[in-house]
Amino acid sequence: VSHEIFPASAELLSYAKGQRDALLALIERIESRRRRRAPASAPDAEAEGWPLRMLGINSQSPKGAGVKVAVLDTGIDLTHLDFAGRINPANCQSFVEGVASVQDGHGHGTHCCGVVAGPITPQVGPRFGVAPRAELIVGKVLSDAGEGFDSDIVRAIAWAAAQGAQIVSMSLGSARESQTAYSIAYEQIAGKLALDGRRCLFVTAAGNESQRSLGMIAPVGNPAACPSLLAVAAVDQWQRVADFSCGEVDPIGTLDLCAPGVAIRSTVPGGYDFMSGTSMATPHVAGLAALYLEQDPHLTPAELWRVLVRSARNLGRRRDFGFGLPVLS
Amino acid sequence: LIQVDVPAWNNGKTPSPFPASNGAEVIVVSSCGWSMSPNKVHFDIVVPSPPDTPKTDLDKQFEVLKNLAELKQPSQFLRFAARGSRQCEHALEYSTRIQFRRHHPKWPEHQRLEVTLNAHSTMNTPNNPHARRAHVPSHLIISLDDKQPVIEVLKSRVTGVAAKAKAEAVGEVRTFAARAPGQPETHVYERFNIAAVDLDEREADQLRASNVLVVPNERREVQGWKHTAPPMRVADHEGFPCAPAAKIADQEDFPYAPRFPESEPGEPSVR
Repeated sequence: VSHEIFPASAELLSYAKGQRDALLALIERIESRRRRRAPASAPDAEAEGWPLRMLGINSQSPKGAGVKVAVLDTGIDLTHLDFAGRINPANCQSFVEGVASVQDGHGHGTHCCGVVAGPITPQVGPRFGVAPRAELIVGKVLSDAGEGFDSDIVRAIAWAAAQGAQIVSMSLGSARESQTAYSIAYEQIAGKLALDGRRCLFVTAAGNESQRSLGMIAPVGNPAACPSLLAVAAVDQWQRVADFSCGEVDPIGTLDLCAPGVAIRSTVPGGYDFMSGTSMATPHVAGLAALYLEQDPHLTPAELWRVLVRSARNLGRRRDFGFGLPVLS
Repeated sequence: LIQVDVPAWNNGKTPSPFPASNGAEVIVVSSCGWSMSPNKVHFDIVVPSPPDTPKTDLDKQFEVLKNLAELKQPSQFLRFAARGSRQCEHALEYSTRIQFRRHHPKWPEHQRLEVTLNAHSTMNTPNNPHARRAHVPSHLIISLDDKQPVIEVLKSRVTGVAAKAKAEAVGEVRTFAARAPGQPETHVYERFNIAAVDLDEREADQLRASNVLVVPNERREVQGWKHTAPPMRVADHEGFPCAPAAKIADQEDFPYAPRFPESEPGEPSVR
Protein backbone atom coordinates (compact mmCIF):
# COMPACT_ATOMS: atom_id res chain seq x y z
CA VAL A 1 0.00 0.00 0.00
CA SER A 2 1.34 3.36 -0.92
CA HIS A 3 2.33 5.22 2.22
CA GLU A 4 2.01 8.51 0.46
CA ILE A 5 -1.64 7.86 0.28
CA PHE A 6 -2.19 6.56 3.74
CA PRO A 7 0.85 7.00 5.96
CA ALA A 8 -0.98 6.22 9.17
CA SER A 9 -1.70 2.75 7.96
CA ALA A 10 1.86 1.39 8.16
CA GLU A 11 1.41 -0.08 11.59
CA LEU A 12 -1.99 -1.43 10.79
CA LEU A 13 -0.68 -2.91 7.60
CA SER A 14 2.13 -4.64 9.38
CA TYR A 15 -0.34 -6.11 11.84
CA ALA A 16 -2.61 -7.23 9.00
CA LYS A 17 0.27 -8.88 7.20
CA GLY A 18 1.15 -10.78 10.33
CA GLN A 19 -2.42 -11.97 10.66
CA ARG A 20 -2.48 -12.94 7.03
CA ASP A 21 0.73 -14.93 7.26
CA ALA A 22 -0.54 -16.74 10.32
CA LEU A 23 -3.77 -17.58 8.54
CA LEU A 24 -1.91 -18.84 5.50
CA ALA A 25 0.31 -21.02 7.62
CA LEU A 26 -2.76 -22.47 9.32
CA ILE A 27 -4.43 -23.15 5.99
CA GLU A 28 -1.32 -24.80 4.66
CA ARG A 29 -1.15 -27.07 7.71
CA ILE A 30 -4.81 -28.03 7.31
CA GLU A 31 -4.43 -28.65 3.61
CA SER A 32 -1.29 -30.73 3.97
CA ARG A 33 -2.98 -32.79 6.67
CA ARG A 34 -5.98 -33.30 4.43
CA ARG A 35 -3.75 -34.38 1.56
CA ARG A 36 -1.96 -36.87 3.77
CA ARG A 37 -5.25 -38.35 4.90
CA ALA A 38 -6.66 -38.65 1.38
CA PRO A 39 -6.85 -42.29 0.33
CA ALA A 40 -4.15 -43.24 -2.10
CA SER A 41 -6.71 -44.91 -4.32
CA ALA A 42 -8.57 -41.69 -5.01
CA PRO A 43 -7.74 -41.33 -8.68
CA ASP A 44 -8.62 -37.72 -9.23
CA ALA A 45 -9.09 -36.17 -5.84
CA GLU A 46 -7.76 -32.87 -7.13
CA ALA A 47 -8.89 -33.18 -10.72
CA GLU A 48 -12.00 -31.12 -10.00
CA GLY A 49 -12.01 -27.72 -8.44
CA TRP A 50 -13.71 -27.20 -5.10
CA PRO A 51 -16.99 -25.96 -6.62
CA LEU A 52 -17.47 -29.22 -8.48
CA ARG A 53 -16.56 -31.28 -5.45
CA MET A 54 -19.06 -29.28 -3.45
CA LEU A 55 -21.74 -30.22 -5.99
CA GLY A 56 -20.83 -33.88 -5.72
CA ILE A 57 -19.28 -34.04 -9.18
CA ASN A 58 -16.31 -36.24 -9.94
CA SER A 59 -14.78 -37.88 -12.97
CA GLN A 60 -17.39 -40.63 -12.93
CA SER A 61 -20.33 -38.24 -13.02
CA PRO A 62 -22.43 -37.61 -16.13
CA LYS A 63 -21.01 -34.95 -18.42
CA GLY A 64 -24.20 -33.44 -19.80
CA ALA A 65 -23.98 -35.15 -23.18
CA GLY A 66 -26.91 -34.45 -25.46
CA VAL A 67 -28.21 -31.56 -23.41
CA LYS A 68 -28.46 -28.06 -24.86
CA VAL A 69 -27.73 -25.24 -22.46
CA ALA A 70 -28.18 -21.64 -23.50
CA VAL A 71 -26.04 -19.00 -21.84
CA LEU A 72 -27.44 -15.52 -22.37
CA ASP A 73 -24.72 -13.12 -21.35
CA THR A 74 -21.88 -11.02 -22.78
CA GLY A 75 -20.95 -13.71 -25.31
CA ILE A 76 -18.02 -16.06 -25.41
CA ASP A 77 -14.37 -15.94 -26.36
CA LEU A 78 -14.53 -17.94 -29.57
CA THR A 79 -10.75 -18.20 -29.68
CA HIS A 80 -10.34 -19.70 -26.23
CA LEU A 81 -8.51 -22.99 -26.46
CA ASP A 82 -10.88 -24.60 -23.98
CA PHE A 83 -13.73 -24.08 -26.43
CA ALA A 84 -11.79 -24.84 -29.61
CA GLY A 85 -13.94 -26.90 -31.93
CA ARG A 86 -16.75 -27.08 -29.42
CA ILE A 87 -18.85 -24.07 -30.36
CA ASN A 88 -21.21 -24.47 -33.27
CA PRO A 89 -21.46 -21.10 -35.06
CA ALA A 90 -25.13 -21.81 -35.68
CA ASN A 91 -25.58 -21.80 -31.92
CA CYS A 92 -24.19 -18.31 -31.49
CA GLN A 93 -25.96 -15.04 -32.06
CA SER A 94 -25.60 -11.48 -30.89
CA PHE A 95 -28.68 -9.52 -29.90
CA VAL A 96 -26.83 -6.36 -28.98
CA GLU A 97 -27.57 -3.45 -31.26
CA GLY A 98 -24.72 -2.87 -33.66
CA VAL A 99 -22.71 -5.88 -32.54
CA ALA A 100 -22.57 -8.71 -35.03
CA SER A 101 -20.36 -11.20 -33.24
CA VAL A 102 -20.80 -13.02 -29.96
CA GLN A 103 -17.12 -12.46 -29.21
CA ASP A 104 -16.92 -11.54 -25.55
CA GLY A 105 -15.22 -8.25 -24.86
CA HIS A 106 -16.21 -8.26 -21.21
CA GLY A 107 -15.25 -11.66 -19.85
CA HIS A 108 -18.36 -12.40 -17.81
CA GLY A 109 -20.08 -14.49 -20.48
CA THR A 110 -16.97 -16.52 -21.19
CA HIS A 111 -16.65 -17.20 -17.48
CA CYS A 112 -20.24 -18.42 -17.23
CA CYS A 113 -19.86 -20.57 -20.34
CA GLY A 114 -16.77 -22.10 -18.78
CA VAL A 115 -18.63 -22.97 -15.60
CA VAL A 116 -21.44 -24.59 -17.54
CA ALA A 117 -19.41 -26.48 -20.10
CA GLY A 118 -15.71 -25.98 -19.58
CA PRO A 119 -13.69 -28.99 -20.72
CA ILE A 120 -12.92 -32.06 -18.66
CA THR A 121 -9.25 -31.18 -18.89
CA PRO A 122 -8.71 -27.44 -19.20
CA GLN A 123 -5.49 -26.13 -20.66
CA VAL A 124 -4.39 -25.16 -17.17
CA GLY A 125 -5.54 -26.19 -13.74
CA PRO A 126 -8.32 -28.37 -12.42
CA ARG A 127 -11.67 -28.92 -14.06
CA PHE A 128 -14.31 -26.28 -13.48
CA GLY A 129 -16.91 -27.09 -16.14
CA VAL A 130 -19.95 -28.77 -14.62
CA ALA A 131 -21.29 -30.30 -17.85
CA PRO A 132 -18.32 -30.50 -20.22
CA ARG A 133 -20.18 -32.40 -22.89
CA ALA A 134 -23.27 -30.22 -22.95
CA GLU A 135 -23.95 -28.32 -26.13
CA LEU A 136 -23.61 -24.60 -25.61
CA ILE A 137 -25.99 -22.10 -27.17
CA VAL A 138 -24.54 -18.65 -26.75
CA GLY A 139 -26.65 -15.52 -26.99
CA LYS A 140 -24.91 -12.21 -26.54
CA VAL A 141 -27.53 -10.04 -24.86
CA LEU A 142 -25.25 -7.83 -22.79
CA SER A 143 -22.80 -5.44 -24.35
CA ASP A 144 -19.10 -5.49 -23.65
CA ALA A 145 -19.88 -2.98 -20.91
CA GLY A 146 -21.92 -5.73 -19.24
CA GLU A 147 -25.36 -4.27 -19.73
CA GLY A 148 -28.36 -4.88 -21.92
CA PHE A 149 -32.09 -4.47 -22.12
CA ASP A 150 -35.12 -6.67 -21.70
CA SER A 151 -36.03 -6.27 -25.35
CA ASP A 152 -32.77 -7.92 -26.43
CA ILE A 153 -33.04 -10.62 -23.80
CA VAL A 154 -36.60 -11.52 -24.73
CA ARG A 155 -35.51 -11.81 -28.33
CA ALA A 156 -32.63 -14.04 -27.34
CA ILE A 157 -34.88 -16.29 -25.30
CA ALA A 158 -37.14 -16.76 -28.31
CA TRP A 159 -34.11 -17.63 -30.39
CA ALA A 160 -32.65 -19.99 -27.79
CA ALA A 161 -35.95 -21.82 -27.45
CA ALA A 162 -36.08 -22.18 -31.23
CA GLN A 163 -32.55 -23.61 -31.10
CA GLY A 164 -33.79 -26.28 -28.74
CA ALA A 165 -32.29 -25.02 -25.52
CA GLN A 166 -33.41 -27.14 -22.59
CA ILE A 167 -31.80 -25.01 -19.93
CA VAL A 168 -31.34 -21.24 -20.12
CA SER A 169 -28.72 -19.77 -17.81
CA MET A 170 -29.09 -16.04 -17.24
CA SER A 171 -26.47 -14.51 -14.98
CA LEU A 172 -27.99 -11.09 -15.31
CA GLY A 173 -30.50 -8.90 -13.61
CA SER A 174 -31.16 -5.68 -11.84
CA ALA A 175 -32.01 -4.67 -8.33
CA ARG A 176 -35.59 -4.76 -7.13
CA GLU A 177 -36.95 -2.88 -4.20
CA SER A 178 -38.68 -4.85 -1.51
CA GLN A 179 -42.40 -5.45 -2.05
CA THR A 180 -42.24 -4.43 -5.68
CA ALA A 181 -43.44 -6.72 -8.41
CA TYR A 182 -41.47 -9.29 -10.31
CA SER A 183 -41.03 -8.91 -14.05
CA ILE A 184 -44.28 -9.84 -15.76
CA ALA A 185 -42.52 -10.19 -19.11
CA TYR A 186 -40.20 -12.98 -18.00
CA GLU A 187 -42.95 -14.74 -16.13
CA GLN A 188 -45.13 -14.65 -19.21
CA ILE A 189 -42.29 -16.00 -21.36
CA ALA A 190 -41.65 -18.93 -19.04
CA GLY A 191 -45.34 -19.69 -18.90
CA LYS A 192 -45.79 -19.51 -22.67
CA LEU A 193 -42.84 -21.78 -23.33
CA ALA A 194 -44.19 -24.31 -20.86
CA LEU A 195 -47.61 -24.19 -22.53
CA ASP A 196 -46.01 -24.69 -25.94
CA GLY A 197 -44.31 -27.83 -24.72
CA ARG A 198 -40.88 -26.24 -25.05
CA ARG A 199 -38.73 -27.66 -22.32
CA CYS A 200 -36.84 -24.69 -21.01
CA LEU A 201 -35.71 -24.41 -17.44
CA PHE A 202 -34.64 -20.86 -16.64
CA VAL A 203 -31.88 -20.48 -14.09
CA THR A 204 -31.18 -16.92 -12.99
CA ALA A 205 -28.90 -15.01 -10.65
CA ALA A 206 -30.54 -13.79 -7.45
CA GLY A 207 -28.47 -10.60 -7.43
CA ASN A 208 -25.51 -9.10 -5.61
CA GLU A 209 -26.96 -6.10 -3.85
CA SER A 210 -26.62 -7.33 -0.27
CA GLN A 211 -23.96 -6.24 2.16
CA ARG A 212 -24.54 -8.84 4.79
CA SER A 213 -21.43 -7.90 6.73
CA LEU A 214 -23.11 -4.55 7.30
CA GLY A 215 -26.44 -6.14 8.11
CA MET A 216 -28.07 -5.31 4.82
CA ILE A 217 -29.84 -8.03 2.87
CA ALA A 218 -31.25 -6.92 -0.44
CA PRO A 219 -34.27 -8.60 -2.01
CA VAL A 220 -33.92 -11.00 -4.91
CA GLY A 221 -33.67 -8.94 -8.07
CA ASN A 222 -35.40 -9.21 -11.39
CA PRO A 223 -35.87 -11.39 -13.34
CA ALA A 224 -34.87 -13.92 -10.68
CA ALA A 225 -37.86 -12.87 -8.58
CA CYS A 226 -40.24 -14.38 -11.12
CA PRO A 227 -41.89 -17.47 -9.66
CA SER A 228 -41.21 -19.55 -12.78
CA LEU A 229 -37.52 -18.75 -12.90
CA LEU A 230 -35.15 -20.58 -10.63
CA ALA A 231 -33.30 -18.07 -8.44
CA VAL A 232 -29.80 -18.96 -7.29
CA ALA A 233 -27.89 -17.49 -4.36
CA ALA A 234 -24.13 -17.70 -3.90
CA VAL A 235 -22.10 -19.46 -1.25
CA ASP A 236 -18.39 -19.57 -0.69
CA GLN A 237 -15.98 -22.44 -0.34
CA TRP A 238 -17.00 -22.94 3.27
CA GLN A 239 -20.67 -23.06 2.35
CA ARG A 240 -21.38 -19.71 3.93
CA VAL A 241 -23.73 -17.38 2.17
CA ALA A 242 -21.79 -14.80 0.19
CA ASP A 243 -21.73 -11.30 1.59
CA PHE A 244 -23.27 -9.87 -1.56
CA SER A 245 -25.88 -12.54 -2.18
CA CYS A 246 -29.47 -11.30 -2.27
CA GLY A 247 -31.93 -12.89 0.09
CA GLU A 248 -35.56 -13.73 0.44
CA VAL A 249 -36.70 -10.67 2.30
CA ASP A 250 -40.19 -10.42 0.87
CA PRO A 251 -42.72 -12.99 -0.33
CA ILE A 252 -42.32 -11.86 -3.93
CA GLY A 253 -38.71 -12.67 -4.56
CA THR A 254 -38.12 -16.18 -3.34
CA LEU A 255 -34.80 -17.97 -3.35
CA ASP A 256 -34.69 -21.49 -4.68
CA LEU A 257 -31.16 -22.82 -4.50
CA CYS A 258 -27.62 -21.80 -3.76
CA ALA A 259 -24.36 -22.75 -5.41
CA PRO A 260 -20.68 -21.80 -5.34
CA GLY A 261 -20.28 -18.17 -6.30
CA VAL A 262 -17.23 -16.77 -4.56
CA ALA A 263 -13.80 -16.84 -6.17
CA ILE A 264 -14.81 -19.17 -8.94
CA ARG A 265 -12.12 -20.02 -11.45
CA SER A 266 -13.15 -20.35 -15.04
CA THR A 267 -12.37 -19.22 -18.55
CA VAL A 268 -12.04 -15.58 -19.50
CA PRO A 269 -10.89 -14.21 -22.83
CA GLY A 270 -7.28 -15.20 -23.22
CA GLY A 271 -7.00 -17.39 -20.15
CA TYR A 272 -8.52 -17.98 -16.76
CA ASP A 273 -9.57 -15.83 -13.88
CA PHE A 274 -11.52 -15.84 -10.66
CA MET A 275 -14.89 -14.18 -10.53
CA SER A 276 -17.49 -13.78 -7.82
CA GLY A 277 -21.21 -13.20 -7.88
CA THR A 278 -24.52 -14.95 -8.06
CA SER A 279 -23.66 -14.91 -11.75
CA MET A 280 -21.15 -17.64 -11.02
CA ALA A 281 -23.57 -19.66 -8.92
CA THR A 282 -26.15 -19.66 -11.69
CA PRO A 283 -24.20 -21.65 -14.30
CA HIS A 284 -23.28 -24.19 -11.65
CA VAL A 285 -26.96 -24.95 -11.18
CA ALA A 286 -27.60 -24.82 -14.92
CA GLY A 287 -24.78 -27.29 -15.49
CA LEU A 288 -26.02 -29.53 -12.73
CA ALA A 289 -29.47 -29.49 -14.29
CA ALA A 290 -27.84 -30.64 -17.53
CA LEU A 291 -26.31 -33.60 -15.72
CA TYR A 292 -29.68 -34.59 -14.32
CA LEU A 293 -31.20 -34.14 -17.76
CA GLU A 294 -28.62 -36.47 -19.24
CA GLN A 295 -29.57 -39.07 -16.67
CA ASP A 296 -33.26 -38.70 -17.52
CA PRO A 297 -33.89 -36.84 -20.78
CA HIS A 298 -37.63 -37.05 -20.31
CA LEU A 299 -37.73 -34.70 -17.38
CA THR A 300 -39.94 -31.68 -17.90
CA PRO A 301 -38.69 -28.33 -16.61
CA ALA A 302 -40.99 -28.65 -13.62
CA GLU A 303 -39.73 -32.14 -12.86
CA LEU A 304 -36.15 -31.02 -13.32
CA TRP A 305 -36.79 -28.16 -10.91
CA ARG A 306 -38.15 -30.63 -8.35
CA VAL A 307 -35.20 -32.97 -8.83
CA LEU A 308 -32.80 -30.13 -8.17
CA VAL A 309 -34.66 -28.99 -5.10
CA ARG A 310 -34.95 -32.54 -3.77
CA SER A 311 -31.22 -33.02 -4.20
CA ALA A 312 -30.46 -29.87 -2.24
CA ARG A 313 -28.61 -30.11 1.01
CA ASN A 314 -29.97 -27.74 3.60
CA LEU A 315 -27.31 -25.22 4.54
CA GLY A 316 -29.35 -22.96 6.74
CA ARG A 317 -32.06 -20.39 6.61
CA ARG A 318 -34.34 -20.39 3.62
CA ARG A 319 -34.00 -16.67 3.12
CA ASP A 320 -30.24 -17.03 2.67
CA PHE A 321 -29.83 -20.37 0.93
CA GLY A 322 -33.23 -21.18 -0.54
CA PHE A 323 -33.73 -24.92 -0.36
CA GLY A 324 -29.99 -25.36 -0.18
CA LEU A 325 -27.08 -26.61 -2.21
CA PRO A 326 -28.04 -29.07 -4.95
CA VAL A 327 -25.78 -32.10 -5.00
CA LEU A 328 -25.50 -34.66 -7.76
CA SER A 329 -26.86 -37.98 -6.62
CA LEU B 1 -16.60 20.59 -2.49
CA ILE B 2 -17.89 21.05 -5.96
CA GLN B 3 -21.47 20.69 -6.95
CA VAL B 4 -21.85 19.29 -10.41
CA ASP B 5 -25.08 18.75 -12.16
CA VAL B 6 -23.96 16.13 -14.58
CA PRO B 7 -26.72 16.28 -17.16
CA ALA B 8 -26.33 20.04 -17.36
CA TRP B 9 -22.62 19.71 -17.58
CA ASN B 10 -23.01 17.07 -20.17
CA ASN B 11 -24.45 19.43 -22.69
CA GLY B 12 -21.01 20.85 -23.21
CA LYS B 13 -22.07 24.42 -22.68
CA THR B 14 -20.83 24.72 -19.16
CA PRO B 15 -17.13 24.63 -18.42
CA SER B 16 -15.58 21.85 -16.46
CA PRO B 17 -16.10 22.43 -12.74
CA PHE B 18 -12.97 20.54 -11.88
CA PRO B 19 -9.89 22.54 -11.04
CA ALA B 20 -7.21 22.53 -13.66
CA SER B 21 -4.55 24.06 -11.45
CA ASN B 22 -3.04 20.70 -10.58
CA GLY B 23 -3.01 19.64 -14.14
CA ALA B 24 -6.19 17.85 -13.33
CA GLU B 25 -8.45 17.49 -16.21
CA VAL B 26 -11.42 15.30 -16.37
CA ILE B 27 -13.12 12.64 -18.33
CA VAL B 28 -16.40 11.50 -16.90
CA VAL B 29 -17.69 8.21 -18.11
CA SER B 30 -20.99 6.88 -16.94
CA SER B 31 -22.89 3.75 -17.55
CA CYS B 32 -25.40 5.69 -19.55
CA GLY B 33 -22.96 6.85 -22.10
CA TRP B 34 -21.87 10.34 -21.13
CA SER B 35 -18.36 11.13 -22.07
CA MET B 36 -16.66 14.39 -21.34
CA SER B 37 -13.11 15.46 -21.91
CA PRO B 38 -12.80 19.17 -21.20
CA ASN B 39 -9.09 19.54 -21.54
CA LYS B 40 -6.46 16.90 -21.02
CA VAL B 41 -6.65 13.46 -19.53
CA HIS B 42 -5.78 12.85 -15.94
CA PHE B 43 -8.89 11.63 -14.19
CA ASP B 44 -11.38 9.01 -15.01
CA ILE B 45 -14.57 9.16 -13.03
CA VAL B 46 -17.52 6.89 -13.26
CA VAL B 47 -20.80 8.37 -12.27
CA PRO B 48 -22.28 5.95 -9.78
CA SER B 49 -25.54 4.17 -9.86
CA PRO B 50 -28.78 4.93 -8.02
CA PRO B 51 -29.19 5.44 -4.29
CA ASP B 52 -27.33 3.18 -1.95
CA THR B 53 -25.21 1.75 -4.69
CA PRO B 54 -23.71 -1.40 -3.26
CA LYS B 55 -20.03 -1.92 -3.12
CA THR B 56 -20.25 -4.61 -5.74
CA ASP B 57 -21.46 -2.06 -8.24
CA LEU B 58 -18.69 0.27 -7.28
CA ASP B 59 -16.25 -2.54 -7.80
CA LYS B 60 -17.61 -3.05 -11.28
CA GLN B 61 -17.22 0.62 -11.98
CA PHE B 62 -13.76 0.43 -10.58
CA GLU B 63 -13.01 -2.21 -13.16
CA VAL B 64 -14.11 0.23 -15.82
CA LEU B 65 -11.84 2.83 -14.32
CA LYS B 66 -9.01 0.40 -14.23
CA ASN B 67 -9.46 -0.50 -17.84
CA LEU B 68 -9.43 3.14 -18.76
CA ALA B 69 -6.40 3.82 -16.65
CA GLU B 70 -4.49 1.03 -18.26
CA LEU B 71 -4.85 2.82 -21.51
CA LYS B 72 -3.10 5.79 -20.02
CA GLN B 73 -0.51 6.19 -17.32
CA PRO B 74 -1.10 3.99 -14.30
CA SER B 75 0.72 6.42 -12.08
CA GLN B 76 -1.94 8.96 -12.80
CA PHE B 77 -4.67 6.55 -12.00
CA LEU B 78 -7.31 7.86 -9.74
CA ARG B 79 -8.68 5.92 -6.85
CA PHE B 80 -12.09 6.66 -5.56
CA ALA B 81 -14.59 5.69 -2.95
CA ALA B 82 -18.22 6.48 -2.51
CA ARG B 83 -19.45 7.53 0.85
CA GLY B 84 -23.06 6.66 0.98
CA SER B 85 -25.78 8.31 -0.93
CA ARG B 86 -28.94 10.21 -0.41
CA GLN B 87 -32.18 9.76 -2.21
CA CYS B 88 -33.72 12.93 -3.49
CA GLU B 89 -37.34 13.77 -3.12
CA HIS B 90 -37.99 12.87 -6.66
CA ALA B 91 -37.95 9.16 -7.11
CA LEU B 92 -36.00 9.33 -10.31
CA GLU B 93 -33.20 11.45 -8.98
CA TYR B 94 -30.30 10.59 -6.85
CA SER B 95 -27.31 12.20 -5.38
CA THR B 96 -24.10 10.56 -4.54
CA ARG B 97 -21.02 12.07 -3.07
CA ILE B 98 -17.82 10.68 -4.37
CA GLN B 99 -14.47 11.37 -2.91
CA PHE B 100 -11.56 11.33 -5.26
CA ARG B 101 -7.95 11.16 -4.42
CA ARG B 102 -5.24 10.90 -6.90
CA HIS B 103 -2.98 7.89 -6.58
CA HIS B 104 0.31 9.57 -7.20
CA PRO B 105 3.26 10.31 -4.94
CA LYS B 106 3.26 13.94 -5.93
CA TRP B 107 -0.34 14.38 -4.97
CA PRO B 108 -0.27 15.77 -1.43
CA GLU B 109 -2.11 13.73 1.10
CA HIS B 110 -4.37 16.55 2.16
CA GLN B 111 -5.41 17.45 -1.34
CA ARG B 112 -8.47 15.70 -2.39
CA LEU B 113 -11.15 16.37 -4.84
CA GLU B 114 -14.60 16.04 -3.42
CA VAL B 115 -17.42 16.07 -5.82
CA THR B 116 -21.10 15.84 -5.36
CA LEU B 117 -22.81 14.61 -8.43
CA ASN B 118 -26.47 15.34 -8.73
CA ALA B 119 -27.67 13.21 -11.54
CA HIS B 120 -30.98 12.07 -12.74
CA SER B 121 -31.56 8.38 -12.52
CA THR B 122 -30.13 6.50 -15.41
CA MET B 123 -31.90 3.31 -14.59
CA ASN B 124 -35.13 2.06 -16.00
CA THR B 125 -36.55 5.40 -16.88
CA PRO B 126 -37.65 5.24 -20.47
CA ASN B 127 -38.21 8.93 -20.83
CA ASN B 128 -34.89 9.98 -19.48
CA PRO B 129 -32.79 10.79 -22.52
CA HIS B 130 -29.71 9.65 -20.66
CA ALA B 131 -31.23 6.35 -19.70
CA ARG B 132 -31.14 4.44 -22.91
CA ARG B 133 -28.86 3.63 -25.72
CA ALA B 134 -29.97 4.80 -29.08
CA HIS B 135 -32.11 2.27 -30.89
CA VAL B 136 -33.39 0.66 -27.73
CA PRO B 137 -37.18 0.60 -27.41
CA SER B 138 -38.51 2.40 -24.39
CA HIS B 139 -41.27 0.02 -23.37
CA LEU B 140 -42.39 -3.56 -23.38
CA ILE B 141 -46.04 -4.16 -24.09
CA ILE B 142 -47.45 -7.33 -22.61
CA SER B 143 -50.86 -8.73 -23.30
CA LEU B 144 -51.93 -11.26 -20.72
CA ASP B 145 -54.97 -12.25 -22.74
CA ASP B 146 -54.28 -14.69 -25.53
CA LYS B 147 -57.43 -13.54 -27.30
CA GLN B 148 -55.93 -10.10 -27.55
CA PRO B 149 -52.72 -10.36 -29.59
CA VAL B 150 -50.40 -7.55 -28.73
CA ILE B 151 -49.68 -6.89 -32.37
CA GLU B 152 -53.32 -6.09 -33.00
CA VAL B 153 -53.36 -3.70 -30.08
CA LEU B 154 -50.31 -1.96 -31.45
CA LYS B 155 -51.75 -1.70 -34.89
CA SER B 156 -54.86 -0.07 -33.57
CA ARG B 157 -53.25 2.21 -31.05
CA VAL B 158 -49.76 3.14 -32.17
CA THR B 159 -49.36 5.18 -35.28
CA GLY B 160 -46.98 3.74 -37.78
CA VAL B 161 -46.39 0.33 -36.28
CA ALA B 162 -48.57 -1.49 -38.75
CA ALA B 163 -47.36 0.49 -41.70
CA LYS B 164 -43.91 -0.89 -42.24
CA ALA B 165 -43.55 -4.57 -41.60
CA LYS B 166 -39.89 -5.01 -42.36
CA ALA B 167 -39.21 -8.68 -42.20
CA GLU B 168 -39.77 -11.84 -40.33
CA ALA B 169 -36.72 -11.81 -38.14
CA VAL B 170 -35.34 -14.39 -35.80
CA GLY B 171 -37.66 -17.28 -35.16
CA GLU B 172 -41.02 -16.01 -34.12
CA VAL B 173 -40.09 -12.38 -33.75
CA ARG B 174 -41.61 -9.91 -36.18
CA THR B 175 -39.68 -6.75 -36.77
CA PHE B 176 -41.14 -3.45 -37.89
CA ALA B 177 -39.11 -0.62 -39.27
CA ALA B 178 -38.57 2.44 -37.14
CA ARG B 179 -41.52 4.81 -37.16
CA ALA B 180 -39.29 7.84 -37.49
CA PRO B 181 -35.60 8.50 -38.12
CA GLY B 182 -33.59 7.85 -35.02
CA GLN B 183 -36.26 5.74 -33.40
CA PRO B 184 -35.63 2.08 -32.67
CA GLU B 185 -37.39 -0.67 -34.49
CA THR B 186 -40.45 -2.36 -33.07
CA HIS B 187 -40.14 -6.03 -32.25
CA VAL B 188 -43.17 -8.20 -31.69
CA TYR B 189 -42.61 -11.54 -30.01
CA GLU B 190 -45.77 -13.16 -31.16
CA ARG B 191 -45.51 -16.36 -29.24
CA PHE B 192 -44.94 -14.51 -26.01
CA ASN B 193 -47.55 -11.85 -26.80
CA ILE B 194 -44.97 -9.22 -25.97
CA ALA B 195 -43.77 -6.28 -28.01
CA ALA B 196 -40.83 -3.91 -27.60
CA VAL B 197 -41.77 -0.46 -28.83
CA ASP B 198 -40.53 3.09 -28.52
CA LEU B 199 -43.43 5.04 -27.09
CA ASP B 200 -44.11 8.48 -25.80
CA GLU B 201 -46.19 8.91 -22.67
CA ARG B 202 -49.38 9.64 -24.60
CA GLU B 203 -49.06 6.41 -26.54
CA ALA B 204 -48.21 4.49 -23.40
CA ASP B 205 -51.35 5.78 -21.70
CA GLN B 206 -53.44 4.85 -24.72
CA LEU B 207 -52.10 1.35 -24.64
CA ARG B 208 -52.71 1.00 -20.93
CA ALA B 209 -56.32 1.83 -21.64
CA SER B 210 -56.35 -1.14 -24.00
CA ASN B 211 -55.95 -3.56 -21.15
CA VAL B 212 -52.33 -4.39 -21.83
CA LEU B 213 -49.40 -3.98 -19.50
CA VAL B 214 -46.94 -1.29 -20.45
CA VAL B 215 -43.66 -1.59 -18.60
CA PRO B 216 -40.27 0.04 -19.09
CA ASN B 217 -37.73 -1.79 -21.17
CA GLU B 218 -35.49 -2.31 -18.22
CA ARG B 219 -31.76 -2.39 -18.15
CA ARG B 220 -30.07 -5.56 -16.89
CA GLU B 221 -26.46 -6.14 -16.12
CA VAL B 222 -24.02 -8.86 -15.28
CA GLN B 223 -24.17 -10.20 -11.76
CA GLY B 224 -20.53 -11.08 -11.32
CA TRP B 225 -17.15 -9.44 -11.29
CA LYS B 226 -13.52 -10.37 -11.22
CA HIS B 227 -12.46 -11.56 -7.84
CA THR B 228 -9.66 -9.90 -5.98
CA ALA B 229 -7.24 -12.75 -6.39
CA PRO B 230 -4.78 -12.63 -9.24
CA PRO B 231 -5.47 -15.29 -11.85
CA MET B 232 -3.97 -18.73 -11.84
CA ARG B 233 -2.74 -19.00 -8.32
CA VAL B 234 -0.99 -22.19 -7.39
CA ALA B 235 -3.09 -22.34 -4.27
CA ASP B 236 -6.15 -22.94 -6.38
CA HIS B 237 -4.95 -26.43 -7.18
CA GLU B 238 -5.07 -27.19 -3.52
CA GLY B 239 -8.61 -26.11 -3.17
CA PHE B 240 -8.06 -22.66 -1.77
CA PRO B 241 -8.94 -20.26 -4.47
CA CYS B 242 -7.97 -16.91 -3.19
CA ALA B 243 -5.03 -17.26 -0.86
CA PRO B 244 -3.34 -13.89 -0.74
CA ALA B 245 0.08 -15.45 -0.87
CA ALA B 246 1.39 -13.08 -3.48
CA LYS B 247 1.30 -10.12 -1.14
CA ILE B 248 -1.74 -8.63 -2.71
CA ALA B 249 -1.62 -5.60 -0.51
CA ASP B 250 1.83 -4.76 -1.76
CA GLN B 251 0.85 -4.73 -5.35
CA GLU B 252 0.81 -1.22 -6.61
CA ASP B 253 -2.22 -1.65 -8.74
CA PHE B 254 -4.27 -3.79 -6.43
CA PRO B 255 -7.59 -2.05 -6.62
CA TYR B 256 -9.26 -3.26 -3.48
CA ALA B 257 -6.82 -2.13 -0.87
CA PRO B 258 -8.48 0.14 1.67
CA ARG B 259 -7.42 3.54 0.48
CA PHE B 260 -10.05 5.45 2.37
CA PRO B 261 -10.45 3.80 5.72
CA GLU B 262 -11.62 6.85 7.54
CA SER B 263 -15.36 7.01 7.84
CA GLU B 264 -17.81 9.60 8.80
CA PRO B 265 -19.77 8.81 11.94
CA GLY B 266 -22.32 6.17 11.25
CA GLU B 267 -21.01 5.41 7.80
CA PRO B 268 -19.22 2.24 6.88
CA SER B 269 -15.81 2.50 5.39
CA VAL B 270 -15.93 1.65 1.74
CA ARG B 271 -13.00 -0.27 0.47
